[in-house]
Amino acid sequence: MKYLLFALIALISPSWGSPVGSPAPDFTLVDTDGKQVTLSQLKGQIVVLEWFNPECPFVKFAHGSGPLSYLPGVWTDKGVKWIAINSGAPGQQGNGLDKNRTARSLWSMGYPVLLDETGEVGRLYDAKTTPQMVVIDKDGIIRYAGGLDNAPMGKTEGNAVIPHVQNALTAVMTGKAVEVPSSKPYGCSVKYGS
Amino acid sequence: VAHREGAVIAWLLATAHAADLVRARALAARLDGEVWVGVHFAIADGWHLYWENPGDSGMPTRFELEGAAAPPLFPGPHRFVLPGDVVNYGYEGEATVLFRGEPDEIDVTWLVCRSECVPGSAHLVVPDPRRSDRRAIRAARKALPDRLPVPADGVLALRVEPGTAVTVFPSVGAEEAVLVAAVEGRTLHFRADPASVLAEHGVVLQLAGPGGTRYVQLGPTMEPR
Repeated sequence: MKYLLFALIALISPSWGSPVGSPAPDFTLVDTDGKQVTLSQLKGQIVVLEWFNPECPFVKFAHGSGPLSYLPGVWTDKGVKWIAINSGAPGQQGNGLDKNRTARSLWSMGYPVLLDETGEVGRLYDAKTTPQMVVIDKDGIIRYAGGLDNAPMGKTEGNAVIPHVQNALTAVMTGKAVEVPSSKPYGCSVKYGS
Repeated sequence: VAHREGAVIAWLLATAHAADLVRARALAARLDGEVWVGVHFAIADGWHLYWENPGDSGMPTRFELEGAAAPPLFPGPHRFVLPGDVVNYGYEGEATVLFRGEPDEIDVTWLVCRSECVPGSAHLVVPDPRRSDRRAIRAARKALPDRLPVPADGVLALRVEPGTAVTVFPSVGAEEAVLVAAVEGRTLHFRADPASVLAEHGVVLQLAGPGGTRYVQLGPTMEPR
């Protein structure tokens, strides 16, 4: 009874983004060019979801000189569909067509930025930070959820860099199990409206 | 010309604003025969700085020291819930991080956030402890969590004031453990599962009672470097 009581009052357990091993929830959003993207129509392709906010310092680092300045290009060349999603609400930092269009061209992002102003898709995937990442296999199953790597702003506190998304994509591409299927996302909070 | 002046003024205002968000200064004093050095942060209203585990988002406040010193000792943190149930651990108003030992210089980097975040840094030269910021250092020592012995079975029972609310702050490595805390009457019950987690990855408990707030700490919260 005592432990039951404890459990009811204050329980902390980790939940880092979407449940790995379950089907990726479907969604339809519109990108900065007005084009509709529906996840379920991409079945048969490996898909990466990247939560995005062009004014977040972590995103600026990752796209300016960090891993997102080259990783998406490498993997889209191999047939991976890379998608950025901005779940920021109107009036919040990084929201709006202009800012996202400008960032896309500044950082030469050859992939779409989808606008999720209601935050519905962000919540569906339990996206808490930018850049938070999801890797989905050809059957639409989530195979990785969490941080881009273990190096916020390129810093690892003296440990070796573990490129989680790169590792997950390599495993999924070659039909192997993802060794680290989930890690703690890091970055700015997603700028939800409420 | 008017245009350019406008742009310069806007730029100056933006820069001044960023600098005003956090003001960091170094303190030093000799207390009980030991030198303590502190970094005091004054944080702009509505903004928060981060604990060593920032929570769901943000970045830990980091220190690089020149000269001898032990790892940073963070004061007991607060919990901030942002839209979307994004939980942050950190400080608003002011906070002082302490070091035992005598570093000469401290480089500190931080991220300060309200809804948006702004990175910042400062290079601080540690003053002569004989000049002495005793009162500030003494107050900062009081704000540190009380270290309790780590229970081998992961279970702690602690006497507290009735009506105490408990908040758990896990270090980064403790987030994967199940940490349960509750107050029944005059007793705080805490349990960590697996029990072994506390030996390496500590936990800070905030005990907010009618008579004030205090913090206790089980295990080391700084990750080994």
